[in-house]
Amino acid sequence: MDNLIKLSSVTQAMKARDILKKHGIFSKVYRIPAVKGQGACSYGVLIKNRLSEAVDILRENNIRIIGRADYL
Amino acid sequence: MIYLDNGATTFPKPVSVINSTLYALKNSANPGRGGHNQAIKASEIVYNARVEAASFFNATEPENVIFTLNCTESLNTVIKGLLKKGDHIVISSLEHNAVLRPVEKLKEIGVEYTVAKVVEGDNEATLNTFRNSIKENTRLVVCTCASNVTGYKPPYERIFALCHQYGILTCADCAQAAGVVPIDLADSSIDYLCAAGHKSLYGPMGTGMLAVNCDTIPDSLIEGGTGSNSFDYNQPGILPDRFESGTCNFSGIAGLKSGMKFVSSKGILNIYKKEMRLIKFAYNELKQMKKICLYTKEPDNYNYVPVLSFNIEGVNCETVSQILNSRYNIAARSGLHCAPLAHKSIGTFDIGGTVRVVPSVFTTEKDIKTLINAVYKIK
Repeated sequence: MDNLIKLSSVTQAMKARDILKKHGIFSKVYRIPAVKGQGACSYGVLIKNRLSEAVDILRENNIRIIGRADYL
Repeated sequence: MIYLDNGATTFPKPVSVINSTLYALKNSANPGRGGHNQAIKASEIVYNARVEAASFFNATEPENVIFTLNCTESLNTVIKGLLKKGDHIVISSLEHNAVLRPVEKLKEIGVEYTVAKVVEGDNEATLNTFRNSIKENTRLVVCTCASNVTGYKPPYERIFALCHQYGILTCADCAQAAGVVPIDLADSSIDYLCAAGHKSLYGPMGTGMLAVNCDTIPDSLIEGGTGSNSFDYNQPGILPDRFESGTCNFSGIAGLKSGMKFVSSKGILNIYKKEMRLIKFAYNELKQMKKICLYTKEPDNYNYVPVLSFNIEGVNCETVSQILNSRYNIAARSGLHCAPLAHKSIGTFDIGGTVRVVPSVFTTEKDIKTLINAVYKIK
């Protein structure tokens, strides 16, 4: 199962992907499903593992995380 | 054709720029919208261009680079997005209509402006005119990094440093300077950098950018779809989405990225030195001719960018450029160059302007010699 870290824009998603890559965490930019109340029309990064580490790294780099979800 | 109208837009464009632009056209989807592979690929191209631009100007983050259609849009975004009724703005006496017209328009809502005189060759005097123009309600100072008429560089960094002492925001019009003058935002007092993409950055026309280098974010001028947070009826506050509503000039941005890479690979200082050598050569040749009017001191490598204006006594500048075009196949631009303030400064407003020649990295000494011979025959 992949984990989806929801971000505020495609720019933020690509920036997040590049930051994570520098830390050895590979991710993929992914479109967030539109669900009212849970963010919509944006992008996030899909990662397979090291989720909590990835979240910490992104926060340290001032990437605003708008949510997280499991992705099958 | 000998193309010396690079101040309007550079020509030719590097092959890499043409190839990137064509590639984007052939492989385009709307960036930042869909989740399919082609849309993600397009988003990647735009993001990479943003990263390239941030690196080029040493901006703090890629999202601080906003792609616009041209430098005019960037300047309007800053000026109209920041100023409200009761505010005051100072602009230099060399500003383009891209600055003058927005501030003139803002008079309608109660914004006042002052034009601070740039004194060629006397930076202290120029600083004093700016200092004396500042009022208690001055919110923004806009200064060109280089005149598009004479190539003169006002001491913009010192002016902006002065503004910061007074807590005033600063905006640099880098239309004529970006790509020939190194600009390092991390080591600068520029709060907002406005640049054209299609001039000395060698991108396609229809490209420009705004780099935000401070925490004060202007209001948006237009609102609309950004591909982000679409449930919200309000315009997003995040950069660059706040200022990038609607579909962008995708192929242009792809080409612009290659243009910036082209400039970086050549080296800004190398390009500058080469073009300045040509301008100095032209200046000194023209200076020796009778009936030629030049409007600056001899251009040097500190105070000028490679732009040269001249007139032939008794011949209208439009006539000169028409003859250069029709008889000698030389493209040079005459008139006011959309900068009436600058022409007032050098005394050419009432005679309809000057003939302007601007080289590019592709211009040769032979091109300039052909120009000199042509002017000699016209006079």
